[in-house]
Order: sequence, then C-alpha cells, then structure tokens
Amino acid sequence: MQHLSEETLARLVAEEPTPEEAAHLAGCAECAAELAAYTEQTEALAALPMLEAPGRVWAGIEDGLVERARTRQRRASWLRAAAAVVLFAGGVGAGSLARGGADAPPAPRTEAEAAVQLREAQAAYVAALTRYSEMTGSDRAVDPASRLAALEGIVLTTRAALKQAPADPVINGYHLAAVGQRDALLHQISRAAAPVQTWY
Amino acid sequence: MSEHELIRRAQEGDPGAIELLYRRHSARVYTVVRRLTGDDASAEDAAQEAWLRALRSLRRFRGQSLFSTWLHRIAVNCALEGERRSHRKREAALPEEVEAETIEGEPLLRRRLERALDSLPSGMRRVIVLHDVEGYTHEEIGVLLGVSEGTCKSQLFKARAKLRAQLRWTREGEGACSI
Repeated sequence: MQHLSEETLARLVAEEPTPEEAAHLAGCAECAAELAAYTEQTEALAALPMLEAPGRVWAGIEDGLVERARTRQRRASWLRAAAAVVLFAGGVGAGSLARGGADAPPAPRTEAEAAVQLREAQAAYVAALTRYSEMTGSDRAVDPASRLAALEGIVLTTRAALKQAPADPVINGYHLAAVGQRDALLHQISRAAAPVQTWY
Repeated sequence: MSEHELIRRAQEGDPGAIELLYRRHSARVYTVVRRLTGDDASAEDAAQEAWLRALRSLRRFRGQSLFSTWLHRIAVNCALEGERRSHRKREAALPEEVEAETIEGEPLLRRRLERALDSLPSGMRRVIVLHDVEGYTHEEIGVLLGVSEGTCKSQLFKARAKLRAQLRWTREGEGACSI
C-alpha cells in the first residue's frame, strides 16, 4: 500500500483531505498515527513558552542609546559652530556696512582719537571671539603657560613685522592686542600665583 | 502605569519609562527573534537592533495599532534582515532557561522542539516559526519574505516534515516521549 507522503501529512494538519486521502487515512492506521503526530507537533509549536532575554541585551541597548546621544551632541555642536560662524560673519558684515552710517563713530581727527577707536575695535573683536568660543563649546581652559607662550610668540612676530612696516594699521592692531592680552595674563597669573610658581 | 502613559513618557525620552517599556516587552521581542534566527548571538543582535530602531521611531508611534504588535513587526524585520547579513556561526547552545528545565515530560518536549527548530535550514525555520509559532498567515509571510503564498505553503509543509523527521531522530536518541 502506498502511504501518504510526509509533505501531504504536513499539509493535512490544517487542510481538508481530498476524498482519496480521506479514504486512505480511514484504512491506514500508520498514516493516521503520523497525521496525529504532525498535529501534536504543530500544537506544541503554538504552545511554546516565551524566552527571557539575557541581561546583555539591555546592556547593549543602553550602550546604543548613549552612543546615539553622543552622536546627536556632536551634530549639535557642529550646527552651533556653523550658526556661530554665520552670526559672527553677519556681525562683521553689518559692522562694515554700518561704518559711515548713523551709528558709526566719527572719523578720528587726532592720533589719540584714532588710538581710542582702535582699542574699542580690538575689545569688540576679542568679545566677539569669546562669544564665538562659548557658542561653539570650544572655550575649554588653556593652561596659562601655553597661552602666555603663544601670546609672546605673536608679540615677537608682530614686533619684527613692525620694523619692516612701522605704520601699518593691521600689524599695529595685532601687536597692540597681543601685548595687551599678554600683559593682562601676566597680571592675572601674578595675582593667583603661589609662592613657588613654575608655570613657565 | 498604563501602557499609554508609559509610551508617552518614553516618547519624551524618560529613561525610566524606556526601561520599564523594555521590561514589559523584552521577552516577546527576544522570543520571536531567537526562534527566527536560530542562535543566541544573532538573536541578541537582532533584539538590540529592534529595540533601538523602535525607540528611534517611537515619536512617530501614534497608537493606531497596539504597541506590542508594532514592536513585534519591527522585531521580525530585524531578525530577518539580521539573518540575511549575518555570517556568524550558529551556536548550538539552547536558551538558558530551557537548559535549566528538567528533562521530564513537557520541558523535554520543549527542549527537543527548540533544538529541532534551531537545526532547520533558515528558510524553513522562518516560515514555520512565523506560521506555526507566531500565527502569521501565508499572505503576511509572503509579504515579509518576498515570496508567493504558494511558495510559502510549500516551504511550510517541507519544514513540518523536516521537523518531524528531526524529532523522530532525537526521540530515538533520548528515549520515549510524545510526538
């Protein structure tokens, strides 16, 4: 006698048999038992219990969430930096446009007036840079020794440049700003210094 | 806390709510990905990916379906995608709680079933898990796997037969038991 195939029995778990298949099952105890076993197997699959997730899964999810937050933070920093550049550039542009307008300072008539305007412009420049650092989050403290060394380098360079072009306003501006910042830093350091200070 | 309130808080980024949401649904997600992938390492990867994907999309969840249904679909997709790209070797180990059970009566049957499922070729395992364990229709499985309903049915019958043969073989090895 030709038995029903395994795949036919697997199908008959949930489908009606053809008349021929039904006749065979009625007369073949072996195939009927196999079909019962297939049905039992399918019912057992449907009744399988849930499995507990290992603790490592949640740990991995937490890591993923932290990493995502960091990525978002980095992206936000870039956006802030870009926004700051736009603001800064916009401010400079607006300042340039305003020069000669109603808010522009009057043209200096003496060297003293010119020097005052130069110092004010330098102060505005430094304030803008400080604001820029705050906005971009790049205002991390630099150790005084490094900053002093950098300022000293600028002072020496601009002093050498001034020997070549003593009346150049841009070089004068940089030189005066660097000297002013260096002196301010030296003053700050000397006030905060411990008896033995080896920052240099 | 109600499910609705829990989801609302999780959508706002409340870490406690996110963890509680995970605790409530972690077993369901892990179960389906474990059975679909057939090994622990792939299942852990798929479960993590499913949760991260769900949490990333949580703000867009509007409650038009049950959260558990929505999450289950994401988990199934992650398991299927993960299996396609994963080249990891499968581990023969069974889930811990299955191993910890006694080998008397029903736990033995469960253990044999889990082991037999793991041993199936992945195509067959996906179809039989989705149909016989998770209760998906042939139409739904066809959409998920990108195959016709006819192919899906044919794979299911082959998978049942293969599973039956596997169980018969392990029964001979382990002693008498039902099925």
